[in-house]
Amino acid sequence: MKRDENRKRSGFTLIELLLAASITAVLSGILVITVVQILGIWSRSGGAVAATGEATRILDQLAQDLDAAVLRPDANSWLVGTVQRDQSGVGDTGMTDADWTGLTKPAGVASLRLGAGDLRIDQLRFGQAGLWLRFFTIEPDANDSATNRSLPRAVAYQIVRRRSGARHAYQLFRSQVRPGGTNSTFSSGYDLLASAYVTPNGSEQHPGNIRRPNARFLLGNHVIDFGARIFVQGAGGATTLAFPFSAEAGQSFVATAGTSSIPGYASRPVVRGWPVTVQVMVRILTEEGARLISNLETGRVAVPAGQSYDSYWWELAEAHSLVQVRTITPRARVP
Amino acid sequence: MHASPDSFSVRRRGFALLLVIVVLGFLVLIVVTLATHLRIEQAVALRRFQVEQARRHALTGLSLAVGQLQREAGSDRQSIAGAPMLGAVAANKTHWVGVWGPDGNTPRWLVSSSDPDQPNPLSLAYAQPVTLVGSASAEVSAGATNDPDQVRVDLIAVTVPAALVPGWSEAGDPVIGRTAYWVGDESGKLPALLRDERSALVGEAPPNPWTALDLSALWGGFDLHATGVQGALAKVVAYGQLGYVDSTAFSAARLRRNFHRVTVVSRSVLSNPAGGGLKQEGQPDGSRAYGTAEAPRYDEQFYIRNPPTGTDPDHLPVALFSVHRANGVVPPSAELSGPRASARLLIAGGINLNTVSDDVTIQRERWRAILSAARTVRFPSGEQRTLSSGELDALASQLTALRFRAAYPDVGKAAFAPFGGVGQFARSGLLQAAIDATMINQGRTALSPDRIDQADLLATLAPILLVRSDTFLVRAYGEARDPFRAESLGEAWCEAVVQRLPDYVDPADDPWAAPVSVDNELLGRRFVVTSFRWLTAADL
Repeated sequence: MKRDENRKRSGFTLIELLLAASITAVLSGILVITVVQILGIWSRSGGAVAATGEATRILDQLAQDLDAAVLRPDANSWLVGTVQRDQSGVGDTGMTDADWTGLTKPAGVASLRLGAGDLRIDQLRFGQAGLWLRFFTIEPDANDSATNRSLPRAVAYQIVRRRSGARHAYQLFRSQVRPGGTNSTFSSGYDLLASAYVTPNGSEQHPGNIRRPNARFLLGNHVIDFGARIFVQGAGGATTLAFPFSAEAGQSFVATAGTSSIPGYASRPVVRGWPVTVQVMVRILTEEGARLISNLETGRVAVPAGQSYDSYWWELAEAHSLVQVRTITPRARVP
Repeated sequence: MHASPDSFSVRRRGFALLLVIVVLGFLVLIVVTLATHLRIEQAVALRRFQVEQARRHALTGLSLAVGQLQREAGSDRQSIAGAPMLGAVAANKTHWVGVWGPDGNTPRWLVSSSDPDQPNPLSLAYAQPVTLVGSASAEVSAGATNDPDQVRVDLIAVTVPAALVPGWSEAGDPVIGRTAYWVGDESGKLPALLRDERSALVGEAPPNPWTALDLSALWGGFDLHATGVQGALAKVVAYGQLGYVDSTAFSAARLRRNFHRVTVVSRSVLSNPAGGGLKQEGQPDGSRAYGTAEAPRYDEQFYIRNPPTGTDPDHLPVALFSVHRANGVVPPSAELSGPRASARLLIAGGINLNTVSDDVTIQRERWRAILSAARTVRFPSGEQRTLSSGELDALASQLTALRFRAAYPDVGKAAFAPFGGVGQFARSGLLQAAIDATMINQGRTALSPDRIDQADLLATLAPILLVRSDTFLVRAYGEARDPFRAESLGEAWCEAVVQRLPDYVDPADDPWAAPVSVDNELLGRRFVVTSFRWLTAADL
């Protein structure tokens, strides 16, 4: 009896062990594969959800601003949109920690695909730093004093590539100038092409914020493109596409009855009119996309043989980003 | 003292239990954290949705307001006045605006109403009132419900078909929200902003009554015409910005006090309220004849140029115009003069003479300011006379609400109805009676060269006087509601300036010509939103 008990306690046979090990290995393998797949899906969907939320938040803010856009039929420039083709040349925001040097989102034609109405807006590219859109609006719930509440203020939307340690981030800023007081919208006037609004000054309360946003005005992360199609009322009352008006080069839209040219962009074409509808787009990288683009720009990932940097940058960007579009109709019309 | 196998086993089981409890506790913590996170995200998303829904309902109110304006006030032959034209009204209905047709019958009120078929909502008690102008906008005591500067209107339910709300089993359609609107009269206010865009365009700088308009009494003696102020005033596009021009004169308290009395956005169509259509540019054939009962052309003609040689150019009224840019396009200069220029011009400002107030101070201040525009009277003889402050005060005091509400049967004006034209106002002799009741002509005979009669004043004032309004301030309210629990989920407010233009609703018809299109016959000239902003409760 005792010997039998000892035998029972002596453990597993080799075959049992091998079988158990094999089953465990197979199960572990399946588990690992499943977990990796689930984590991948989780990461991608989580990234997409986060990017969607970011895009929705940006477009909600823009919709609220454009809803209450202030437009008057005079020679001032009330709304200006400029395609920023190349940040190494004209149009650099000059933000203190802005950095468009080295490998970046491609400048020039690689990031310009403006179409002539034949492409959907989510297929367009609005230049290296996207559209620089600025206008006057009335913000209802700004954290201002009572005397500054719900009155016209200048706002600007623009993308800045910022350096943070060894890495870079593409961020969308919504800078604003307070309604009244020193260096305010009221004291600077309503001409967005006047020097007050085009001379960079990143102080938080300065009209130069329209050109150089203060860091406090960050609106969204991983925004690699931002653009708009602007429709005006044509002859006979029909709504027609006014901007972008050509597939090439930087170009601007100005809501004005005047003829001013854009400082710094004098050689680029301009179309003038009064917007009745604005279709806006924002392209946002997922977290994974941001990591991949960062690796490409820092040289950790090599460009595949036979492919140019510019095309590979956009291939990665388009595969790991999402585009949200919204059509907004400013409620006030120019009489 | 060695532990027996049994006690060892018990200790091991205890350890396992502890381990299981720790693991379970950890799992519960994870589940609770996830649930809380999801609940917060859901609450944020729901809140955003509810605010958006409330905003949609506010926009519905705005659309209803613009639609009612178009329907009731698009035609040229309408008169517009505030509720005090009817006599005593509830204080918080003082700033309701009514539209009278050419027959002068019962007005239609430009507010949301819980009973749209009720012909006179002024007489009704509120069913479900909401405040649209309160203590942040106007001179209203905090917490008041029946203040003369306050504006309250009734709510309208926003319903959807029952089939759209799963689980709805009660009678009637579910109420998913409420909306309300009020249409305020900007042309009934005194204009504080006067820019002559036409002059800038065609290089003409005509004399005009606005340059003498004196609003200083409303702003603590501040002179709006002072050098250095005009540049800042020209930048004002919203009433609240007046505070940036001079924070003392336009203090927050004064801005609230004058909210219903001063405007910076009013513009008026050169239309003929008496006969319909647009006014025609004309040349007066005698300065003193202009404005008499025999030449009642105030409603039919306007003047933008100096008169023919032989008349006194300074005597002629030249109003201040603003160019109407249809679709933002500047019309050719040739279209800015000539008989049909009224299709391309708007009066910058324009004052509705039918706006009355039972508050004696307000009524006097208002007419004191209007009369100041004609303070210097130039006579055909070449002489001129400037009315003293005392004379202006005396004259303004005589122009009480009572006189405007009276019947003038000789010219077809009923009691408690507005004037149907500036010509009718002149023929009624109301202004002449006010002059006669003062001492301003004391010691002068009918033949005295400097005797002032109403024609002398109207010669300057008529081009800026109106019997209707073309600019309106609309405030709308929206609320999202839970149809099951009848609870408010979110609120929103918006404000818009709505402008009537010379163009017809249907652009097929020439603004100058009589309407051919049925739409234009019914709806008249087009209203557009020229300014829009969202408000918060703190802005009301």
